[in-house]
Amino acid sequence: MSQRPSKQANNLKEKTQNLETEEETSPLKALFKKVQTPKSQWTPTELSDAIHWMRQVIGIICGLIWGLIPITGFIGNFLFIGVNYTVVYLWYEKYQDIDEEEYGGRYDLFKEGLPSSIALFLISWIVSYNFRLEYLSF
Amino acid sequence: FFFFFFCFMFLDCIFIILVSIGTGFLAEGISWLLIYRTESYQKLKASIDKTSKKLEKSKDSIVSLSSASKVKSKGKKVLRQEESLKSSNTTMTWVKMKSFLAVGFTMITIFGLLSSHFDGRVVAKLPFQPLWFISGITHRNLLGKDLTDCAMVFIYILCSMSFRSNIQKFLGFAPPKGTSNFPFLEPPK
Repeated sequence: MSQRPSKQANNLKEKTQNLETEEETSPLKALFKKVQTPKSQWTPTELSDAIHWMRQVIGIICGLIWGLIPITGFIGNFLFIGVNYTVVYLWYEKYQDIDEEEYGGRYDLFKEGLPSSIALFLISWIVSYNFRLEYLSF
Repeated sequence: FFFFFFCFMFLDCIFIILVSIGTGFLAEGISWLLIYRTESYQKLKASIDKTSKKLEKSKDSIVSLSSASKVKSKGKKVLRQEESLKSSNTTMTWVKMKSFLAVGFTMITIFGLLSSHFDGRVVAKLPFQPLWFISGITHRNLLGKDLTDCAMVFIYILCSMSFRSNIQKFLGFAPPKGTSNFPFLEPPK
């Protein structure tokens, strides 16, 4: 009888340790934390991953907003590229204080994740626009 | 009538997107089965990562060197490392060839099935007027002259471009830095 509570305690301790290890090693979570921390130290791979995922998130959010307002016409594409470039530029230049020459230059950082971001933006723009046409107009 | 028309159209669009996401995962699953879990691929990937890191360090250290002879010898080292990286990337391409064929065949089959099912059907309304060279894809096999009507092909292509590379990156199977899924964006060397 006295053994059962200590066995349960051991199991609980193991589970907690496993959870802590998982939290420590989850790369996306660590990256997300680093993105939010100003003036972090970045390796080139980490920075390109961070910029890639930021562009995807911006693509989805812009697409949803453009579709629901709605913004129509080709100007929406140029507006998205402008917003996408500006947000990421301000993040790494002002918030992270990164010298872009150390990481391959402005062009390398600009094209990181850009094609898939544009495609994702178009998809979410089209879907939210059609959602608005279907549910918000009738 | 228009309500039901848009209702089915919206569901068609969502269906195509879901199929595309599923196809992306299926493609990565096939690649993992045929390549990613093999020892030869893992050794090659480790070697490419190691060489890339050494190359970056060598390039960084050249900037801090003062004497011309040291810069010259470091430059030769960088060239050797670049050659080694290039040859490893070429070997990687050959290793991945098996999965390219299998994945290509799967995607063509799924695309063919979708294409036959959605042939002639408008699956979405575009919020913009497409440019003349894109309207051939967006308005493929559709009746009428309204260019904002969108066919399945365009949605599927957009989904493949966006979801496939993101799924690869999320699962950790993205091509190594220096190679790209979109080589047309690389500046000429």
